Amino acid sequence: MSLTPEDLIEKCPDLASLPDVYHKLNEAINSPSCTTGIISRIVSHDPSLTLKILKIVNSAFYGFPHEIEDIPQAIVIIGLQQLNDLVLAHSIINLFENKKTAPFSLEEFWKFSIASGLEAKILSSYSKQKSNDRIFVGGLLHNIGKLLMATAEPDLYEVCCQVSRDHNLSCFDAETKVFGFSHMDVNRVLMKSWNIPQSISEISSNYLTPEVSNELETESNFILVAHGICSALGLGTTGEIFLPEISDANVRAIQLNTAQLEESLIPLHEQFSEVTNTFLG
Amino acid sequence: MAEISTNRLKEGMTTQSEVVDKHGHTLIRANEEISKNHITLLKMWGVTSVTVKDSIKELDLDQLKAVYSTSIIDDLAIQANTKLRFIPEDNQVYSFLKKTFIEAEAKRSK
Repeated sequence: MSLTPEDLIEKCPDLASLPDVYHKLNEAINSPSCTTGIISRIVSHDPSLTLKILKIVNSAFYGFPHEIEDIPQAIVIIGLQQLNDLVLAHSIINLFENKKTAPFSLEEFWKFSIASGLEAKILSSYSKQKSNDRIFVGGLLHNIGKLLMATAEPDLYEVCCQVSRDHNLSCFDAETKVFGFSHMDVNRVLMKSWNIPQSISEISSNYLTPEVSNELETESNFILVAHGICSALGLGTTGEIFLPEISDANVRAIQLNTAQLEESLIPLHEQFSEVTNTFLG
Repeated sequence: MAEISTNRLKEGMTTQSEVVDKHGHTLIRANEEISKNHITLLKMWGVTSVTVKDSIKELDLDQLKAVYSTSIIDDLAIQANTKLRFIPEDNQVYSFLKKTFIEAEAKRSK
């Protein structure tokens, strides 16, 4: 019998759902009677989460000139959706903590993912093309399917990389050959299991084929280009041998040029280490 | 080509088309290299954005060979061609990613 993305989740039942705090927060944000007080209480109930959120909002990731001292202040400054996305990012990074993966390490995987999210966010700030402000979390999670594949079936994922190298196949084609599906399929199934908003799932699960994302094509293009740049820079790795297909049309679609891509490397290098340490530390 | 804000404009970029002020007077001709004076002029006349040509600093392998070693740079150029095999070579983004890869790896080799 052939393997399905659902089988991978079944093999790792502890990865099948996100912690309560994320769902409680989501529910509260979507409720008509939502107040800053209610949200603050939910977040403050988890001291390590509170500390993490404050560390992130005070880091180079936002670059605010004054220190943000508590959650209510953070909500006012970054807004509820951004707070929700940070809790989501923190919850997912925590969920995989101490998992054994192969052929890439957990640390290298997250470095690449954080770099991609950060670069997508920087590129979108350069562009006149309006984009969804969930672009960072979309970039952070665009390869999460690979992480589940490498956690649930490390030997098979190692074979995948070998097949890609030996037969000059893209990561997508090698995965489809070995597993019968790609990490983009796993992304979709995993995000559904986590009950993550459709927009984040769309942005991150179609980055190799932005044209199918419909309204979110721009965001997927940002993530594809950011992926290519971080991969060329070697900021972390997900075991991919070749860069995915990217053309000038993808760059034009986000209304940028190569000179601007080059310019974006400066803030990326400036922020990468601090942001990575803040999220992973 | 891309429309970029005057604040992000850098010396050495090339205009794609004529830059005019709000009355239609030409401030900079098309295909002109932007100088420091041009940027001051644009700000003075309240021009907020300019369309410039795509350009990146060319990959200069010889210059890199002088800093690192010939064998390292030659080896990285071959690795780059393999890594970028799915990206069409006649694209600007190909040249940019190749340069980015070689420079990052060369730095790492030190």
